[in-house]
Amino acid sequence: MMGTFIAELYKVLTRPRSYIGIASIVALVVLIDTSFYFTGKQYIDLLFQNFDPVFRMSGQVVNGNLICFIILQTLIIQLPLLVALVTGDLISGEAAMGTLRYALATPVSRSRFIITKWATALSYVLCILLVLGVFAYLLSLVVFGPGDLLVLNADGLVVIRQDQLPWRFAAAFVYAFISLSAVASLSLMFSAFASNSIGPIVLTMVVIIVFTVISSFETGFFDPVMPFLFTNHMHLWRRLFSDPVPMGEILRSGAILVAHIAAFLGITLWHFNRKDIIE
Amino acid sequence: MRIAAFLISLCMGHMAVAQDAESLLGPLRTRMAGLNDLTCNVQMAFDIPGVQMKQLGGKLYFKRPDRFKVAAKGLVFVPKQNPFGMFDLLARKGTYMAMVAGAEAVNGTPCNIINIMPTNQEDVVMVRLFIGKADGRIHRSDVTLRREGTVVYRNTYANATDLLPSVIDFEADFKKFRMPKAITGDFNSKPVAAADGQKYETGRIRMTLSAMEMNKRLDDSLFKDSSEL
Repeated sequence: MMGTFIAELYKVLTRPRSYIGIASIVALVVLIDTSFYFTGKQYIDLLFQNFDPVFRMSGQVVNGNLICFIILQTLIIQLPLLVALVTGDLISGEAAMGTLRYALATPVSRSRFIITKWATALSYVLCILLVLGVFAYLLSLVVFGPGDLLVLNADGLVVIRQDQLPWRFAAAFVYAFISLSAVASLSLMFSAFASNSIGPIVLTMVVIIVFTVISSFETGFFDPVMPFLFTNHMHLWRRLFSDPVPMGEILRSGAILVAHIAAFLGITLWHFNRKDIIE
Repeated sequence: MRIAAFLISLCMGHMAVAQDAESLLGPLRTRMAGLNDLTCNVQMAFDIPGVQMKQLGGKLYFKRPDRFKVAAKGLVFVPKQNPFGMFDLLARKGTYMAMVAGAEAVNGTPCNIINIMPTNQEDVVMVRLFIGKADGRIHRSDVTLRREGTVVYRNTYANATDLLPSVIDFEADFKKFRMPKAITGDFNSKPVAAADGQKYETGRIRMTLSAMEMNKRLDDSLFKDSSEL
């Protein structure tokens, strides 16, 4: 099993498209850091326009923790697309190239094959998040220095003191791993149904974009369907930066995402074990 | 003849009121003249709608005429208006009109109310000072600004002989905070209705001062540095 997993991982790491996501993250982090280095004050002025006439903020608002939070917030919507680019191709790519039948000709069960592919997809997610963690968190801290975090919500501001931040960021990365694993499992499921690379990638992207757009609507029309959109639970990492932290709500959403992962993986296994790989 | 007598009596009455105001402000001005700068510890607590911010300690600096700064080991909201700003206004005799406008108790302390209207200030339209009848100290000041509305400072003194308050409560109204979800990325919260975004709410900051040191000849450069400790 480990040998197959390493072989799958090697396949992913030797494909140029695997580095598109990583390169995008590095480029976006550098761009965001640069833009805030020069125009951070305008951003802060926008935040404080309501309070501006009577209050002013004292202290270093633009700091490494704020930049890391903004990067996370910005990229958390884009990361699923970057993940799907690789994981959506894991099975369908082999089918398209005609290597799937050869892979399954070896003495390995189909379930084990799928589990190995799934573990590879999760490893790629982990790799992406490690890159994001190093660049978004550490680089921003080096460039801008530490400080209290100012979190902007739809109905107000939350200031989290600096000593409360490391565990919150660590938990946010763990939550992001669970969220992106759900996306990776979804795209793997689509990949099991398809026999070309593009279909599962595009379909995953469409699902993510449509669900995210619905989530961002400010009318109450979509409120009844919100709990059923798994993307809505993906955004709950932000609640880790509330005061107090609604742990029950976060754990419930985390559990819903894990249930989605299990369901997507279950459907993939069920379908792939019955799939005619000659078609 | 009657009209002339009425006008003369009105003018004399006005002069008498102004005289009264000056008799209350004079001793206060004399006491405040001894304060050139101030350094002290400050503990700040916040009660601002839409803002979750735990209290934090820091250093407060003030220097005449209008330099004011709070330096803390983190982010804090501070009043935009200098809490000691009226000292400078009162010191510049002849640049304002003062009138006694009644009496009222502030936190149980009987006070005279004096309305001060600056004649050459750009931002301050009027200051309403509540001066203790017994101690002659400022217990409350309502500062009406040209654009920002009225901000209120309530002073609490630790000792009967203290020149400066040990607690300053700042109060001001501001528009309810509202941001589109697409900007905040906060997809899971209930959006604030547009009508609510036009409502005004009252925010409060309590500054508890301690370890006050006066007239240490603070350097101007101190007020140019970052506000982080």
